[in-house]
Amino acid sequence: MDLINNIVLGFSVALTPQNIFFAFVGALIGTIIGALPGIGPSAGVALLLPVTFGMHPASAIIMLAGIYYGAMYGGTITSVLINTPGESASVMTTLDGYQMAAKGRAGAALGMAAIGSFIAGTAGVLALMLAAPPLAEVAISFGPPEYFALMVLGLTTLTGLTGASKLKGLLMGIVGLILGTIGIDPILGNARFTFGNPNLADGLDFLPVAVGLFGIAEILGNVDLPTRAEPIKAKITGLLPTRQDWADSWGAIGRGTTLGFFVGALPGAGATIASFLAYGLEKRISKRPERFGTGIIEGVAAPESANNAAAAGALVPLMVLGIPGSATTAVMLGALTLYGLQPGPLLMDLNPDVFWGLVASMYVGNVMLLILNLPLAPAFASILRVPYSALVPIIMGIALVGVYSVQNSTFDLGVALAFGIIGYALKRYGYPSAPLVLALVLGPLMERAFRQSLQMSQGGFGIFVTRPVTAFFLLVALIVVVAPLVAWFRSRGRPIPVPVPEERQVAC
Amino acid sequence: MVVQAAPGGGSDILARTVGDILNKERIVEQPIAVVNRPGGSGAIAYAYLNEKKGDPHFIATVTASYLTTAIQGQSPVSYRDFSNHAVLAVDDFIAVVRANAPYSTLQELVDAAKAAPNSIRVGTTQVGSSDSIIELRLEQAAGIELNAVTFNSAGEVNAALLGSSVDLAFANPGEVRELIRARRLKQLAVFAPQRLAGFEDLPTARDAGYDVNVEQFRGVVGPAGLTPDQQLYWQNALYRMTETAGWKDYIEKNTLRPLVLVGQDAEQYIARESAQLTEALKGLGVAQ
Repeated sequence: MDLINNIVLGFSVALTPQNIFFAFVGALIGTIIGALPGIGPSAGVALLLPVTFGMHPASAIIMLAGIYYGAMYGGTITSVLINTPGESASVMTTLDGYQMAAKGRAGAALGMAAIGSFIAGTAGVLALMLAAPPLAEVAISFGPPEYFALMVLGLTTLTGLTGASKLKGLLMGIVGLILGTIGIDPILGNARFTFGNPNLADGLDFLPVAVGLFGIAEILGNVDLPTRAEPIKAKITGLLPTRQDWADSWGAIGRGTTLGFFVGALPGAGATIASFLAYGLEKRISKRPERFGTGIIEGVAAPESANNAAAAGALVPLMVLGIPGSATTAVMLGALTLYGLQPGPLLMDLNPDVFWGLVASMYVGNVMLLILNLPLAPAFASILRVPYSALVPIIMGIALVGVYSVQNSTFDLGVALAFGIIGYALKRYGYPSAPLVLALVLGPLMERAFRQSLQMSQGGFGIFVTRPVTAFFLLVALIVVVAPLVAWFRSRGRPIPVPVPEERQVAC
Repeated sequence: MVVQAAPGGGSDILARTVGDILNKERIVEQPIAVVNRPGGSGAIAYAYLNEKKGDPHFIATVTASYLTTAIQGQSPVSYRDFSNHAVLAVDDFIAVVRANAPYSTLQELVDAAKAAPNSIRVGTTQVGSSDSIIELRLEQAAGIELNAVTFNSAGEVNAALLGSSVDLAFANPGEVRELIRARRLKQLAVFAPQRLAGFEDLPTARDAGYDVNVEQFRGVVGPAGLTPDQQLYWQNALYRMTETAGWKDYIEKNTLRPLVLVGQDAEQYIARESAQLTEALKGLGVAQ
């Protein structure tokens, strides 16, 4: 059995004291990097690249991968505690995670995130080990039309992310799409809405916008309430998830893991989109969708499982084909080259110690992260006991330093502050921020895929229905949009073909 | 040392390699710190460097975007606003197709394109990139029409090629070497003046009768307003850097072609490239 031999080889590499140490260092640094807003896994891996020079390639890649999936654990911490995503794949976690913290259940949120991450990470590695080569083939068979359909499906979950009013949610989604058109045209290369400012040439960066809308707006909102100087007064109870939490989360973890792994394996999609889709899916199929965003545990478990599984999935095209599917794996590709390895279809055959050693080390690393994160969850949660007046400047400092450090750009600081104020106003008047952020991320990807598809078909729209996967995704998206309307007409008894009263009704 | 890209990409690794060798070999005694100023296809980094006029403590690694961003009117400063210290190497492009493609030579591809115009999909990175220029020049030289699909990065182009979304790509040898060796892709021709070391079996486009020659240079520049001595210092330092084993190793691993030009020679090379790129980008309709 080749597989068993390979696994034995892998563990013989991963379980040397030296490599256990490097996996631990990677996981620990990754957790810290993930927790700090601004420095995401790609920057973290890049910054630590020079440290790995001179190390054995297997040790080096074990450490870098540790940083990558460690960051997926760490990103949860700030999302839950201060409503500021530590890295982009944790944006969805803020929605329910922070609400849980506000109810005094930060420990349970962090604990469940760690456990969900562990399950997803381990299952992801298992899938990577067993099915990497065939999966890589499926992943690359996704062309622009399939991506477009996937993005449409992602955007239709928009309506599922909104709070009380569907209309307000849709409106914010449209604003996000409009903001997403800022920057260099992806096909023709013309500048759009940049007003000659080179800082806008690449569009509005997603992280400053998210930090502003979620983190800074939250602070402004709390400062505005004089009676609530210490916003989270609730007793911090339930440091570990309860039996009920388990029952609620089990399915979400399973679905998040499966979805996350596959989306992660698609070149160009990645952990952030995986977490969006997982949250949307969970809300779609939940028995209590109206309670998403109010602090329920599956709203944390789903995206956190998805982003960890996606981190394992992203290694599929990298290791099997030498094609990086995300910013972080692009850096890791550069790293492999620097170590004198040649990433490509032959890597698994020519350097089995590196590939199987990495896979085995990820089991070890995930166990370490669980051990690291579970006991620390209550410790992190106790941060919320700090008086808010002392916490505010610290949070602002962390958030702004993080935003600046992404591109060393003061312009981004301005963006974060501006969106902080916008976010405060939106909150005040009950407009949800999440659809805006989602549309800002998915919009440009969707536009590019749409136009690429039309380039492929030379302008014919048939390409969206003749490809089975594309047609299937679009059909599901259509059902997602139409089904609630049909149900509503039925409940009215007598269908009225004018949609206006429906909108008015939900808007109220 | 200023880099026009985010940490981790090819440009960043180039800058860190250059900085590392300059320090390690004690060619430059002052420790070199790398500053990443990504964004605007390099415009942000070039604007930043332009603010440092007369300061010899700043250098920047540059590649084709140094010229194309200005030509496309996305940067107010051009190569004339800087001290062009050195050209270090060039990266070539080879035409690759899937291993099971019905054509094995550039001529067969051209014949297929002639038989059915626009039937062959070519994946390119943004309009104005070196590979989009090859596409245009090849179309002109061979009198064919290809159907271009535009992607974000070379990695996405390669994935699309393997996944049959496109049929042809123009890639740097280092990016596709392993895919060719694994018989997933096959190479048709290189767009260089002569055959490449390590790719001796691969004909040039000129061998096939299409005089298309596009290369992407890697160089180092500094702000304007330096004294002749300061310019000479960097020219010497960079020339010595290219003689080191560490640099030769980098060249080999990334399948670059060594081309070392300093001072006047570098200025002339960059001016010539800029003129050629301007003409090519006008052909693509994106020059300002």
